[in-house]
Amino acid sequence: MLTRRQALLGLGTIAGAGLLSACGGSPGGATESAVDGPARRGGTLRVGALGKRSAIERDPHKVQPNESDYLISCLAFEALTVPGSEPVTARLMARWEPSSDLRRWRFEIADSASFHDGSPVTADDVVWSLRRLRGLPNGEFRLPGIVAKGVRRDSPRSIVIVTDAPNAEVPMAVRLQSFVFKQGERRPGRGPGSGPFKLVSYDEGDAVLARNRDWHGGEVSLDRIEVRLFSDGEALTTAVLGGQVDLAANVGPVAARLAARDEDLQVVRRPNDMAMPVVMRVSDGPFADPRVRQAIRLAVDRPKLVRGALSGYGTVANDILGTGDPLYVGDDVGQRARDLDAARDLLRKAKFDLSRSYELFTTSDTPGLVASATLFATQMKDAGVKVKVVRQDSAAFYDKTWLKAPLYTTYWGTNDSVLFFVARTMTSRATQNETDWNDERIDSLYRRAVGDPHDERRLEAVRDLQRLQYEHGGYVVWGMADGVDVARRTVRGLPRSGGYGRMFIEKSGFAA
Amino acid sequence: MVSAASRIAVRTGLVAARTLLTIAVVATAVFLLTEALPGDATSGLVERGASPAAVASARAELGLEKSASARLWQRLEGLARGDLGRTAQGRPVSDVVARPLRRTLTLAGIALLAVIVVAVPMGAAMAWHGARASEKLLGAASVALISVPEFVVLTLLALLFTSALGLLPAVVVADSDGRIDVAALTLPALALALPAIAWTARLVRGAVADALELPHVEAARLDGLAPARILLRHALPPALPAIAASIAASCAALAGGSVVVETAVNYPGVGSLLTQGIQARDVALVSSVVVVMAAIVAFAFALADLVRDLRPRATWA
Repeated sequence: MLTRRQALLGLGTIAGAGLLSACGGSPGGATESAVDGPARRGGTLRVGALGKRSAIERDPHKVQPNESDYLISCLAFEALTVPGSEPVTARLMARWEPSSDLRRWRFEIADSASFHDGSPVTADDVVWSLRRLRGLPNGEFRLPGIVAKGVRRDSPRSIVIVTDAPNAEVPMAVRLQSFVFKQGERRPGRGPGSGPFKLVSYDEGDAVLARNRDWHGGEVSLDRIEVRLFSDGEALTTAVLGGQVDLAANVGPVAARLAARDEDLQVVRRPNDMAMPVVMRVSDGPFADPRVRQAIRLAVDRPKLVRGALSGYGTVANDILGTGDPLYVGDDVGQRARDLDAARDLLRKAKFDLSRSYELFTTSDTPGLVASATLFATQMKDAGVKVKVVRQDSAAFYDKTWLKAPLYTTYWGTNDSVLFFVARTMTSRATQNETDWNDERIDSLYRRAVGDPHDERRLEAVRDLQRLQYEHGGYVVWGMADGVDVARRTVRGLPRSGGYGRMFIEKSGFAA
Repeated sequence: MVSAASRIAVRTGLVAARTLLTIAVVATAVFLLTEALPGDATSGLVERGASPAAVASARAELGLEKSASARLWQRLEGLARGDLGRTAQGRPVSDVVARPLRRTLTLAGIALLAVIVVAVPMGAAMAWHGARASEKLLGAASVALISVPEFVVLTLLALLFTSALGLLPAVVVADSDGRIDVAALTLPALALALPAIAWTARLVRGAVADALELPHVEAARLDGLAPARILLRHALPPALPAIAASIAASCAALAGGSVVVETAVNYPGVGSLLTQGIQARDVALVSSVVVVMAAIVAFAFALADLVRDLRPRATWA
């Protein structure tokens, strides 16, 4: 049964989460950071994750809009590589290496990797699964730069991926989405996987998973994981505060503030989880002049945005995307800070029209996004730029605004790769070129960054791409939101990496 | 006698026709409204910024390349055959809706039962005692309850039963066998029922108060019959059509309230399904849920109408 205190905290989320978080002071305190220590064998972890019962998708190769469904996929099935201690970490594949010209990658299946029915994972299973994924409508997107016929069996326990152009990013390209099923699987997502947990039951988004004793990836403590779907973030917060679940995945800062007062709970902060940049259109319109974009970036008060829009659960960023990448140079190029005089000066030189008002489109798709837009607009006023925030429904936003408007907010959950962003949002062939930036320098640097056989030249290109973003890009990357999970204090070993790294909870457990 | 029977038959036929027409109009309106919203269901099937080819293939899968009028016709024709279509993710809507619908009917059924059991005696008592201070207080409380949205009622109830007393869970979490604890239904059922009780009790009071002024009821009063007997035997029958209509109206209110309450307590019913369907622009799902809910409400109103038509007029005419 609930204690009174837990329950009262839970209610805050319904009654007045805003009020409570406003008087919470800066994050910090006894229960603020995740607890570490050994986990005992056994136990059932009840995980609450967000999703919509109307949008259930069990096939891990298809778009799974529900976090809950994706979590189940990541526990029961395995991709070739996953994010982890490094952006690309071994999972079903133990080792990989390219040919010297970077056109042929050889992947070795982990020793003793087997499906839940006991049969070993073979190269045929991997090839069949990758080709199936590539053949789906989203295949090109999920396996960028890879074609179906380029995926081949090498030996019974290894495959090769051959690409048309030199491609250093193949291990990244097969990360996360490349779930492997048994060859010829008729109902992917329902048949056996090779992951650390076996799916015992699935009922309208709720699932029970049991430990896979034969998993190749090391010791697993928990006996069971129960995934419970929550369609509402406040309901999920209430559930974890009231002890109805042990872990509320990705539940956000408001829940963290409430949990920080409860000694039975811990808050897990995962840095570089979400970028929420403001997008300025580069190709045409009011922000086409690089001096205007520079002025806007100088007018932003970043620490204030992090405090206001992210409730302090985040870090200041520097207009370069991919902050979690080991190759990120944002800390070396000089942190851009607020300089209103310089901003006004640049606007004057660029003859920027200060008499009119500029619409900033936003959505409430992710927590803090609307608040960030509102704060941004307020801050622009200090530089003499009138910005009017227009809030749109998600579907309307993607229909009318995204990739089209001169000024809007966006958000990205994969932040551990600089090249991910360059490929998807900055090259002239990118299908998500949000800032509509068409610059030959980006294209040639990108080709070098993925295709140059010399490691040092590739790294240099990655660094140059970031400097180009810093100087000329259309993103105002003012900060990075932490991913925030709330868990019972007895839970150990929760993932700390941002983005989809949060899905890999198989090594968690309960305190000894 | 013959004329009475045929009158009832004709009325029943008319009510059935009206109900069917209502459903058809609702289905069309929901289709057009969902259609008028910007964006479509493809966004749930492809990744942000997927290639035009992927978007086109998703649109084809959803049948969106057909004209709106063709899709509307297809939809109405399917509904007439009892085919609810498929969700954006390709699952049959009937599968997706079946269990949530049972859950919503359970939750709303509990609430409706509470409405009938509490509101009718309460309304009758308010009518009987008329000007007493306690009745005025009840009346004021009911006005307050009517004007407060369900989620506020829910929050206040949770403050009392979860925070202060620690008796009930604040949200619904199914156990590992997928079962839902009945105790978890208490808060949402109360949140749904209380405003409906307040509303219905006021209507019942009005209807019974009118009935109490009828000559034969006054006569019974003057004869010194017991209040319960007067209310049950003499005042309630003439008030019954109005009471039935107000209970039917409560069904509509409960259906609407469930959309808000289910989402807030994480109850997996059709109310929260509807919210999600609208966000995803899932036309088949949204129109199916609305049509099913509309059918239930229309059926309740039809029953209320039949109560009016079938009442034994002769006894007090």
